[in-house]
Amino acid sequence: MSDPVGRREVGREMSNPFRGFAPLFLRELKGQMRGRRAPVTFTVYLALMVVVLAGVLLVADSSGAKGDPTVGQVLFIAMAFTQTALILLLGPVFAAGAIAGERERQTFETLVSTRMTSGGIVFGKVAGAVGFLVVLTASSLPLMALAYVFGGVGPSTIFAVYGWDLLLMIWVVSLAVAASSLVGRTLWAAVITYVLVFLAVFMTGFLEVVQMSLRSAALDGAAQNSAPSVFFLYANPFSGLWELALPGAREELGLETALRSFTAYGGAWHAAVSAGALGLAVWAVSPLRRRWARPRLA
Amino acid sequence: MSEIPDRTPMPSADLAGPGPPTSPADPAGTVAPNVPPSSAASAPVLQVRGLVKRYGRVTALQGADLDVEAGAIHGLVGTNGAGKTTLLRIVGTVLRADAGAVSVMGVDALAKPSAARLLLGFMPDFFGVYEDLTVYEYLDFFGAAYGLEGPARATRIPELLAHTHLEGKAASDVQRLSRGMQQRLCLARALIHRPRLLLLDEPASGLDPRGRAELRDILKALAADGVAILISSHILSELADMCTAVTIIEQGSVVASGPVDTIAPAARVRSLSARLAGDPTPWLEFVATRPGVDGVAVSATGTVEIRFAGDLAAQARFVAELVEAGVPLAALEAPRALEEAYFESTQGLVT
Repeated sequence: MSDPVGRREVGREMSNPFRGFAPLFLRELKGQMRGRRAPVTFTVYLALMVVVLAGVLLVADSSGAKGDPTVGQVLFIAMAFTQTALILLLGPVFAAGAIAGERERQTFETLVSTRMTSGGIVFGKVAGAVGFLVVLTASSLPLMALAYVFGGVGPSTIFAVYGWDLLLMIWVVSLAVAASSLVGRTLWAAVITYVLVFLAVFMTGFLEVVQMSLRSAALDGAAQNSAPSVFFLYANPFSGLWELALPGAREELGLETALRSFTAYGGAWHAAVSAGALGLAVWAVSPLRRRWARPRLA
Repeated sequence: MSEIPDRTPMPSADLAGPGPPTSPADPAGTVAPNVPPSSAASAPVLQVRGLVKRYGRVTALQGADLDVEAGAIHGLVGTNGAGKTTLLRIVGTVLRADAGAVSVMGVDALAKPSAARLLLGFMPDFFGVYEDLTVYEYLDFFGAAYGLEGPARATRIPELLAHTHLEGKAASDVQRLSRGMQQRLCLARALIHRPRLLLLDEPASGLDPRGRAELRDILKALAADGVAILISSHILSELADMCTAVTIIEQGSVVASGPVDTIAPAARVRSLSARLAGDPTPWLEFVATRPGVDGVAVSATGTVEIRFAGDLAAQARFVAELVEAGVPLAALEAPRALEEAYFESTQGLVT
């Protein structure tokens, strides 16, 4: 029998900064799908989407909008925003324990003493959590497709929204994994991630209102008619969704001349934040980095 | 020097696996590590020199030196807080050292931890397991984590399960295993990539006597296959039963290191426990006046506790003298060499 860990193989893998990604990704996905949490999550998620769907249809029916193509648009928008909100809520649940959970289970040293690199560990964890969220949201695709049946929403819009949601999954999971690698407790990692998501969703809107108020007070009438700056809204995870789910809404609000695409700039912002969070997580996971921890002697 | 050195040639072994192929016709030879055999054959598997580790103002290791030879079971002994775990974690490449050098079969483990991990298996003192996996999946995951391809894992896992007495548990959930079985599973995990150096931090803690005996047998088999084992424990009797060498560490410094027999001091005052048939009282004065005897007392259980100053030869003469005089000596117990060396060398200080 040949020696399973040979020199040629070593030479090849030594240069791979993501060594260990594949086995960890598969293990994470397997772990996420096992136990009671996965079926409970799927059930609750789909139940909420059905409630939103039924609510919109009931309102449309009672308001006499039956057969109106706007019903499909409203249905789609309601479900798209619900889905994005659920992603932001569930992402930390499935990612906050990525590294902190390894420390709590006392499996972290075992993991980092293997040939896996820090990059392989972090990206494997992120891919595992994102993979689960992708499967989860894919399960609601038939419900979303109902909007297409009602009319007013094209397949490209549906897929664009799913693409934006994929970016947000990576964003929120990256934040959670970074928090998880920096703090020792899953609970604290989840709390930190929820605070960051809260700030992104609500604080950006608040800062935008403040900024626009200050601007209108400072400028004369002519200047007020010029295009407003919406810098803070780029950081809002719902801004790109709004733009994608409601094509043309930006022009109707008169923002067209002022704004570049929320999808492009907002997407770039979220991608950059994700990259920064992942870099931080890779650094924090390395067992040989300089650290300032309490002594652990024996 | 090559980053990945040769592995010390070993006899064909179930646990450690075969050594590098020797025949040029062997296709496996194209992937086997290869460095000049002279260095691999003579140098210790593990060399630690001047290892220093500080946690803020606390110095956990202050210049520790250590050598572990191939096929040796090397005990690392010390009180809690002596620095055993810190040393093992640094050698295991999961903790950064502040100074010093660690070489695993010629690989600088501090500069090239990834290369060193190929050559060592590490079992930490506190370890968890992935409870959502089966035993087979657990080993398969770690096999993949060490870069073993699927066919190699499929061959290796049944071997390990057999040698760690878990062959019937492949499909069992890890969480359903007993503590002893989880311990053996973790050992199998550390062996999955056929390391040449095995680092075990308190591996027997929490095990019942049978579990300890099984673990001891497995480690002896590994050592017989040429694997170097560095094992920490503060259960001296356990180490004395299997260790070929020992390093005693106190306050982060190595106070003694080498084969057990050589580090035991040649002469000292030791406490001997003698059990006599019948009442020992009539013999106490005779015993107390023998050469080398420093004091005699009878314990509550009837054992005669003798403080004796002298080396092993003097002790042998003393015993012969008792027997010749007709002392009804039923048993005489002396402390084990390792215990003697430990208590002689340490003062119970911690960092």
